[in-house]
Amino acid sequence: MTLLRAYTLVTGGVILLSTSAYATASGESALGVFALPTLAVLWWLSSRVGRRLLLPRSAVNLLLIAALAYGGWRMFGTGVDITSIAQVVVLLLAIKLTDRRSHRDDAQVILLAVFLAVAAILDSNKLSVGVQLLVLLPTLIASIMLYQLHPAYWPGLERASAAPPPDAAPKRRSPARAIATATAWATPAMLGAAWLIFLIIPRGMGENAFGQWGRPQGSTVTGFTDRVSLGRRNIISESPEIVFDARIEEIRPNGQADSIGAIDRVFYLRGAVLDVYAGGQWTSAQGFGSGVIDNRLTNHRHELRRPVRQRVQIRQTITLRDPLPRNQTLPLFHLFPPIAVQADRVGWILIEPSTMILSFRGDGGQLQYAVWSHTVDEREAPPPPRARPIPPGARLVELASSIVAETGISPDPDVRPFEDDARAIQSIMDWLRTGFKYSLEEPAVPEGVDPIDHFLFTTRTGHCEYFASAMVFLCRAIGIHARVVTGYVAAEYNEASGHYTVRQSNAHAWVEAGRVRWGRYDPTPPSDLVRLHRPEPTLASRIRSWLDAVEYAWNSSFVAFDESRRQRLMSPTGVASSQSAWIDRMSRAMADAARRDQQRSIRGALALIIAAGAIVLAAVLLWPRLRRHIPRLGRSFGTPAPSGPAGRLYTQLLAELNRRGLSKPFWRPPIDHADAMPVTDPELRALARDISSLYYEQRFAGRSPDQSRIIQARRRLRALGQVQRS
Amino acid sequence: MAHAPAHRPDPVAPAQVPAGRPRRRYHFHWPGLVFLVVVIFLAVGAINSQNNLLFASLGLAIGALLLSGFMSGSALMGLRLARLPATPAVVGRPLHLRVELRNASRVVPAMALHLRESPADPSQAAKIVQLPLTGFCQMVAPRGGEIAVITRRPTRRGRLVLGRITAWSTFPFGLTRKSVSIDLPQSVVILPAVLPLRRGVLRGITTAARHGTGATSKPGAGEELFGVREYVPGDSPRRIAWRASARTGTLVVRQNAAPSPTRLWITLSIGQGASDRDVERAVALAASAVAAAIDDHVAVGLALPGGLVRTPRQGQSHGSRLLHDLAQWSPSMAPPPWPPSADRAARLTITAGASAQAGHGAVWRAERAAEMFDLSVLDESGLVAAGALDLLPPPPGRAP
Repeated sequence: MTLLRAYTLVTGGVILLSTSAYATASGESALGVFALPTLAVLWWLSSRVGRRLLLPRSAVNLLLIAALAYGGWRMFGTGVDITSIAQVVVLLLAIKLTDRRSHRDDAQVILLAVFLAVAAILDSNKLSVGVQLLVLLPTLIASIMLYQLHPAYWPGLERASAAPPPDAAPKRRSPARAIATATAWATPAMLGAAWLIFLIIPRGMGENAFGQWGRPQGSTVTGFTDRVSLGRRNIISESPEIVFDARIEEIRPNGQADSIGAIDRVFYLRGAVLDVYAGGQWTSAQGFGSGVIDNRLTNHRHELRRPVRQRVQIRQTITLRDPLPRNQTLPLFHLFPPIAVQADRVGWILIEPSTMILSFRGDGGQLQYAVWSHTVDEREAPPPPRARPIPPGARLVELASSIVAETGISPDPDVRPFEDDARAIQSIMDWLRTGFKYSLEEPAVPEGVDPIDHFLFTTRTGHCEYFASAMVFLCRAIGIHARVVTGYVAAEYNEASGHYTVRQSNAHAWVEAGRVRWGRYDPTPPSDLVRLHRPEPTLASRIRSWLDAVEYAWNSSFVAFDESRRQRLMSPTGVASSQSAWIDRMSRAMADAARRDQQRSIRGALALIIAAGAIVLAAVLLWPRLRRHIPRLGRSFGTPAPSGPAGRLYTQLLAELNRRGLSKPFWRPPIDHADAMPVTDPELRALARDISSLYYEQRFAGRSPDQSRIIQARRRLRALGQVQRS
Repeated sequence: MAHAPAHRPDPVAPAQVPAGRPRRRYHFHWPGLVFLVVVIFLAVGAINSQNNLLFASLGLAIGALLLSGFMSGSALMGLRLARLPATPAVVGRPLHLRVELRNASRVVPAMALHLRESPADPSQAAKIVQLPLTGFCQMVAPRGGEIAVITRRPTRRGRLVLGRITAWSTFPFGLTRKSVSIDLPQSVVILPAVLPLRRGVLRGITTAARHGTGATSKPGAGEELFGVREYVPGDSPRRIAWRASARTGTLVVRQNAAPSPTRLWITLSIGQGASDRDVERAVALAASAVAAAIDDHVAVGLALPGGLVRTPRQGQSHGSRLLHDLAQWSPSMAPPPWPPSADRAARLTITAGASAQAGHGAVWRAERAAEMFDLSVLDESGLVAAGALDLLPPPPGRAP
């Protein structure tokens, strides 16, 4: 394989891999469908046409301006975010592929591809992104090495290479093979160095000092909300996108933890408790939490209530797949009731005492947390208030009473003993499960009709939100406190890794009800629940399960790698002990500063220092080069145009040659090009040589050529142009 | 087609330039700055977002920097440079400057090596060849060697004085530029262009001279008596000098002197108003006449303004000397040292400028040089040589 062909293949691979990585990270399937083939075709075309332009220069410049204007407009509207920047980079990449004239253009193409890879990292840390980047690494190394040897850039020079000296050792390897060898050992060497640096760099400092860079999720993912509007899709989703991984373990008295997950075992992970209904919308009376627990340090466990010594503790370790948004309070999904919590990031854990809902507010980013609870049986929660719930309406009271009366239980809460509450609730739940149909279709509710009434009395079809809402109303109608709980059902157990994979489609709504203790009830028909939340054991699901296990390992070991793990890894060396104290102090100082609302000033000062330093450095280093380019920035984005009288004449000559189809390759010296012109046009050939000589005199000899010769050459060039046009 | 006489080693240029002590340097350049900005961006991004994949990318970037330093440093550390003697150079013909690269490293190949020859006087060199003098070598294998050739077509005669030679590389990642430079002084004489003269042009001049009338101090087939010598079997009886034999008592034979060759004096005469191009045309004419005369076994002498005089002699070595004289001659308006009038040699005066003195004999005017050359028989490279001296006939209706 020739070097040029290898370069074309490898660099094309870099472009496609980086774009594919970004498309995977951002989840923009349109980008993958349209941009990837477009870039592939453009790269192929531009490689075939060589140094010629695919588009006219003016069109390229217009497209560049349009792409930058589009980027500016987008960022002006939505703010500076990574998605907008990456989209502009993809556009610039496509445009640059039509404008590959010099080695500098190829360098820009490679650089844009690298930027795209960085954007992919900022957007997502998914395993699929990591794998693509891992493949990209050797490809990029090979591409840059081949770029150094690119024979198309130095064709004349390559031809000039002669045979080796006769007495030299006959160890000749082909450059392509040498590049392959260099790539083969440079990749692991770089990975090794990267791993060392990865371990050495302390974590937890300076987080979000410059705002959130990545694409935050959580708020946009279903299930991360504290309100449900019936009649609209809220938490219902069929997306197989993984939201988090949950590992549920039992802590033995000796401290050992064993996974208690099983394929046929389902856990309900609470997210929000919704107890206020108005106008078809459920909201929480308290919002996400009220009590604030300071959780500045990443490795602290916070006790929420005194644990019972005799009871077994259950630990739920949740690893969120996508970074959290900054300064937004979002739920920490957990079993009920929690007794302790620990997060791996700087932030505040909030607990709402009446609902025992945990939430987190921090500076955003990747989050892994653990919640301890006593049991998965929720029937020992604190009792709800004794006050009787407000009845939802006469029609519902009548319906609920009839349902309960069928089982021989009094619907009147004043005469009904507390012990019968559970049976009454169960009868309502059974009535709903058997008499109603589950459907993900959102029923059309007529104007002015309450969605729950419509569900109960008209359609009798709906999804979990309707089932839960109806059950809450029916329970309240017979004097039992009830509330809607939203969260996730952990039903997809992965035996290989011992964890549950929780997807967006696992978002669910159920009911907590009771007069003495809260109990969890799920009115959704069990067959539908299993069908929706647990995949069929097919070959595809097995493969997916295996991939999920790999991704879980990736997330829990790499993505969630934090300071505490770093310290554990580094502790045998003794390095971490002193560092950790230092990091702790820094973390405390930063959190205190943030609390005193000084973070803004620190951030501003840091940004100012870095920006000023960068500007001064750039100015010092670049001014000598930029100064030559400034007068012609408006004219061209490319190679500097020759200046001076002879230079301008030379530019006119090149234009004339272009018109005649005798374009000069960028690598060929002017006089060589004049010599290489057809003998059939001696006049043009002689003129090209004259003008090139004038240009050489000016450029290399450093003297101004004779004005009369320039005038004469200009006249000859003009005359030739006129002859050609006529 | 006339050929330039065999290359005569330049007395100034050493035959083999020994390699001196190389100087190694690191240069900060534009891609390195871009990389630095990217590394800073990655570092700030990783710290800001605590994104482990970004931390890993930062590690890769720093690893790339370390690896780049190691690979390029070790590759250039073992690189040895030496310049090989340049091939004879003639205006318009390729000049090959050959640089020998040897890699002393046992493991690491030296790759993507750019070469640059730095002339001692760039402005002077720019008149002679196209600058910059750069070359490229893709790879020098471990314990191996390569000869990189920098090829240029000299556009003017003269002495090209080379000084430092630099090899630099940005391999493997283009982050830093490393260079090895070494001072290797060498000069290359660029001979004037030698083009075929029109058939009969030179013969017309030399036949005017008295062919064979002179005698040389060597025995030969001339008409004048050189002397007598003892008879040896095989000598023609007709050549026996009977009187001398009678006087000496032994048989002796007559021996004639070798005839003197045709002698040609070539004189350059530069007058007021001669342009640089005219002077160069005149030199090219003189060089072509010298080469043609040497090929015809004519004894050629040269008289150049400024006082340089070479008496007529035959032979390739003499022709080479004359071409070197022409190559290094600095144009002068002084009157040429005319050959002595007693010398009955043929004379050719090549003039440039309207007021140039013509002298005796044939006169060629540089302004009409194209008429003297047989351009129809030139091959591609010859045409280039002619083009280099601007000898092509001017296009019809255009000023030359």
